[in-house]
Amino acid sequence: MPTVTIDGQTIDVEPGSTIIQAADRLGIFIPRFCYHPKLSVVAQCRQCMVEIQQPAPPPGAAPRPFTACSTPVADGMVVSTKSEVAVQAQKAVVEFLLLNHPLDCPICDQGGECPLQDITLGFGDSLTRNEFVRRTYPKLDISPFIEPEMNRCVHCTRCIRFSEEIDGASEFGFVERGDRTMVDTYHDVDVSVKSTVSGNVIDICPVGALTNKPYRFKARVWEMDSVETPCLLCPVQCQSRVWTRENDIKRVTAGFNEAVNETWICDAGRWGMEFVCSPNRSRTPALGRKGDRSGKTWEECLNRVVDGFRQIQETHGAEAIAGIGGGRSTNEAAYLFQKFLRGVLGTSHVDARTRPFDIAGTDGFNAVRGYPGMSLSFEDLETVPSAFLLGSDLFYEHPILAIRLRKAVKAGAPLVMAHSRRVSINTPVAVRLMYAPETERALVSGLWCALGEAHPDWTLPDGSEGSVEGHAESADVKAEDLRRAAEILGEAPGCALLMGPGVGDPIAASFFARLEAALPGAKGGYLHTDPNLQGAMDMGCLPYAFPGYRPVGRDRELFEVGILQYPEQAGLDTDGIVAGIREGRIKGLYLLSADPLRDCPEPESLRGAISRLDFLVVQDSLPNACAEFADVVLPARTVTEMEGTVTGLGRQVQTLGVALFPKSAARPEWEVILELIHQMGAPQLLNDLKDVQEEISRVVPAYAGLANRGLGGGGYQWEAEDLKGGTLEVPEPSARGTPRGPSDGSALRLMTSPQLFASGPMVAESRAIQAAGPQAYAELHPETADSMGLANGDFATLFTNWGRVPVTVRVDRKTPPGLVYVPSGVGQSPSNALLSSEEMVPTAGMEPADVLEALPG
Amino acid sequence: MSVGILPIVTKNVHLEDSHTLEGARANGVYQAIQKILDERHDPGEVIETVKASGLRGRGGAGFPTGVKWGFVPKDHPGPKYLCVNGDESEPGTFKDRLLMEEDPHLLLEGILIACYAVGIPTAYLYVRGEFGLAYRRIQAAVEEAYQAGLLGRNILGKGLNMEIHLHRGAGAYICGEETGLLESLEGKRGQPRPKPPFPALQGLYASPTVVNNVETLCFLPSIINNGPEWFAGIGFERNTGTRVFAVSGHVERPGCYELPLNVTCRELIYDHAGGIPGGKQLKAVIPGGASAPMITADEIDVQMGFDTLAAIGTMGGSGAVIVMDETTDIVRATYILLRFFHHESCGQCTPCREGTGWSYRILRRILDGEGRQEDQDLLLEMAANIKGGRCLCPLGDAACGPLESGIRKFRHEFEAYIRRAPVIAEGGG
Repeated sequence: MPTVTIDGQTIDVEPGSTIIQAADRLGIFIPRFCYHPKLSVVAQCRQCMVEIQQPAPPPGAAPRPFTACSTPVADGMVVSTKSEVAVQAQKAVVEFLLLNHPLDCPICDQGGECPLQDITLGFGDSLTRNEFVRRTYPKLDISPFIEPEMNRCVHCTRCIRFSEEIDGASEFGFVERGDRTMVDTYHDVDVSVKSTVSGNVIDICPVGALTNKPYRFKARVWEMDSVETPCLLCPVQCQSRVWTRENDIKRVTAGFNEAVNETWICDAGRWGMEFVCSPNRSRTPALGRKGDRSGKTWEECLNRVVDGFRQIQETHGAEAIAGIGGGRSTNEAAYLFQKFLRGVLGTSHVDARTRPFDIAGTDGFNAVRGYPGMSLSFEDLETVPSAFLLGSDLFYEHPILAIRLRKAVKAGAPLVMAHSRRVSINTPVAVRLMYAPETERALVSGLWCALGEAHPDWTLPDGSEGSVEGHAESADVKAEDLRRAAEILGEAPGCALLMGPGVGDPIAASFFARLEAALPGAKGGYLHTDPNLQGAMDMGCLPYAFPGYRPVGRDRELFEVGILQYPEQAGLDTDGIVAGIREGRIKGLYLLSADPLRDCPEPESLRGAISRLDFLVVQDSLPNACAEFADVVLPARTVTEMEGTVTGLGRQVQTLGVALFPKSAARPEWEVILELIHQMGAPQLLNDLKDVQEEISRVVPAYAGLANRGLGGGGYQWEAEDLKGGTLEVPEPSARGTPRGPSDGSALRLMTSPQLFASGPMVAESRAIQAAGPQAYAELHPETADSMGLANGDFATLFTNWGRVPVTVRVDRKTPPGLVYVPSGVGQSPSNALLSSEEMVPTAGMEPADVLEALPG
Repeated sequence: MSVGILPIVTKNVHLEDSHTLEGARANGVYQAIQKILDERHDPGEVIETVKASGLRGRGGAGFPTGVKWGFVPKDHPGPKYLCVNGDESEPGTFKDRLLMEEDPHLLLEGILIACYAVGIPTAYLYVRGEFGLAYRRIQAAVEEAYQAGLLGRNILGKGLNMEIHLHRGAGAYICGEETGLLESLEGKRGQPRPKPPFPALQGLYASPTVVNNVETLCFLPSIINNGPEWFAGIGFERNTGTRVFAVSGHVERPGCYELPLNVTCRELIYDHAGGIPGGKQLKAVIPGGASAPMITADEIDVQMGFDTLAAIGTMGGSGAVIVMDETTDIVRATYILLRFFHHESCGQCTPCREGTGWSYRILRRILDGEGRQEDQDLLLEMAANIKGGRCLCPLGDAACGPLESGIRKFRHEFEAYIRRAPVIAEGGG
């Protein structure tokens, strides 16, 4: 390893390291603007110039400075960052940069956290020698989230490189030349920066040229406090920094966790965290149904919960009680939730999954390998030899994973992209399979058959038999494309198999999951959507698994203390619980930050069934459509307001940071459930969060040591070997209706899937995201829109046999002709109203509307 | 002159049909590559021949051509490229244009030899966008050569394969800088790349790449035909051969003169270009294109070799010789040159982007009679902060050539402007 001496300090570095990397390791700060460890080295700003004293310059040559960012270290090199040559070079660059930089620090949002300010003070002169009028650029409007002030730009090109290298959309670029050079975007579209991770350019801009529009002029950095916490907007759980002043969130910036999000976060996380401060959150515990509700003390409410569930136990038996939730809670709350339901109430019906596609996807993988989530780490995604994405619009559903996978594809990994819409992660696609909506089963069967041709000894999943041609015809794709895709999957061992929430057919999901077991070295998983669904499932919020993915009934002695008795048989999943509610078999329901009326099909008829429940408890931090029928409403704390741990898609266990005090009587979910457990007569063995974590450590081998790990430094990833689970009795996937073939062109085919920016109760509470554009939209191909007389931005009503929702029309070629795409779970107009619990995806109609009609209820 | 067969690369340019294949063949073009292929020369041997000839790049930097070729890894498994720099944009330079317009086949033969020597199957020829005739002539020559089996597959029936692609520039000076040229060829904004990595290892499409100037390549056939010793015998040590000087400005006969590198500046101006019109006195000469520091009338006995010019603080550069007589307003001339560099700076690196703009504005201020006493020192200090490795590419240094030399050698003219009493009442340009 080469040895280099910088300012008298010596260090061994990896071959190929640059001077700036060596200096950073030594803790010697070399001023820089364009250099960023996650971006390519361009040596453009010239701020990092240092003098190389050894090897000495050739005889007679004047000593010259070198850019530390682009100069590789050679063995024995002696570098000075403080020699006269270095200091003068650095000083001169500061002067050049400030020549045209406005002196508007007092009104600049970057003030106080500005590398240009710091470097000017540290390395520049205090006076300017420029007497000419400073350069000004035209004011740009590029996005609802980013406010450009290009007069402040120092041309470091970090935004350009981020957009090209990390995000792949290449939405920024230089125009003009010389000192007229300007960072600009494409103006021929309404919003020129559309990337789902665009906000990162604000973080990496070293000056106030790209600023946070919603945060503009809201606070000065030195007035705020900040805490790093995993983001709970999606299951990627990026480390984010939450900035508060006077107990209000002012902004969110990216945190750093190499194993999770490197140093990037998506725009939903950056601007969606605002939900924590939403005025719509429930504030006080309350009793009584809508119209007859009144705020009560926590004690009264908890007593009522105990009484309510006892009554049902006594009259109808424990199996008439069910619990749904945990996917938006902490691991500790989820653990106690299933403990309360199973051990105390005695029911077997508990499930954290609320959305049909999450049930289908996780069941598929649970059956194959005994645990859900991803079997490879996020970092592994960067180096996979090939990738297969099925039903995943990764850039809009899990943007940070798209950033990881893009690196592999850029490095040459062929990508097979299977989706009914023209989705992209801004990379080339090796094989695109644009299958007819809801034909995933035929598509994956076709792949199996194509693989079977090459591997006659393989056993195909039951039901996938047939010919490649036959399946290709059913899915409306080319047989040769299926064969090419199969070839890519089988070629290099270790293909990444990722299925997204676009797949609602449980049989297709199970066929897909079985690919992972069949293909050598293949890793992947179903990319679920609820933020802490992984953690909740790890904690046993699955009808067929005890904590740690033990089959229900196994190791009961671990859990049964005092009065606690755990069920021997698996219970109902959310689909089954909902059916039980409709049929009146389920009488009592406990919803822990879960909202079936938003997530389950046919919400209109479900409303009636829920209203007829004998007893309903809603514990949530957010507005919940079921709350109106609740007998007890328990306001919950949320991320940044409480301690606890969470676990993401990559099995990374992280600890929450506390940035705020709750503004109301809301209490942490775990604390409330623990109190309920004790009130029901369980021995009071647990007293605080640490005790709960110790119990989890004890009963879930993958979480061993949780309580004492501290989880600093980004947490840890649990390993599948530590599970000691077993074969789970996952119910056989049952078909919900028969998939239809390609559309005959007479009616619209409906497609829904969750989108990070449109879906879910959290983003619904973010004013910044709501203001950015209509969230309840229906996307049509231009031809389809034309034929219906609809144009971009028109209001319309979308209907099926099951319901209708008001939408704003969006015209985009991403959606193929004959299809209407609606993001699911949208705040004000949840598209689950359009869905059927019988049919997979119904046909839809659409009619223009003069105004965006208000939804009932 | 007693240096044998001269001129070398311009010997056919005056002939009617020199740009056609027929004319070129009649003039002996393609004999060298025929000889190499007939005699089955080892590619390494060709490189050694070029090294021994002492040929240095005629584009600007004067780097030894054979040495440059030697940097390309021999056993590289992927593609390798030759990029021919015909983006001749240095103000005052017009010698590559002459060669491309009048003897395109000589250039093609040079390309074939270079590609043969380095083992390159693909060449890109980057022609300055404004050179319409040159581009059409090269296009026609390439077509002829393909038809005659001189390009493409199995060249001259000897199993050599070579494809040539033409590319027209879009008007940026910076694309004449070798890595800016590569970026431009890749379809990107023409911005130089930081070095390392050098093009020989990671050039076009991240593959090993040789970038050679048009004139440089045109010397190769005669070096092969006549041997390296012959070439090395012209000029003087380490500055061998001839080069095509593009003489412009205040001379009787401006134009291209191919002369050995030991010709003096005085001989070039007075013996070849006919001296200064109207019997006026010489004031200054830019000996190597706009980037080369000016020399004064009492420095013109310098030989026009790379090393001799470097020894007096200027450079051979692109071979453009701009002659300025006593009526020239040096302040205005410096201003015009800086206006050019300010206009052509690509804008990516700080000292060049901001420094060329600032110095151009200060010069404008001086010209406008608003100069400050401290302006000259400010400009010199700025030049020191731009040049010498402080910029990403040589454009910043190029701007400092006229800036520093103008002020250092003609300080009194700047002072006169600042005192509002210009030495030259009506400047040229």
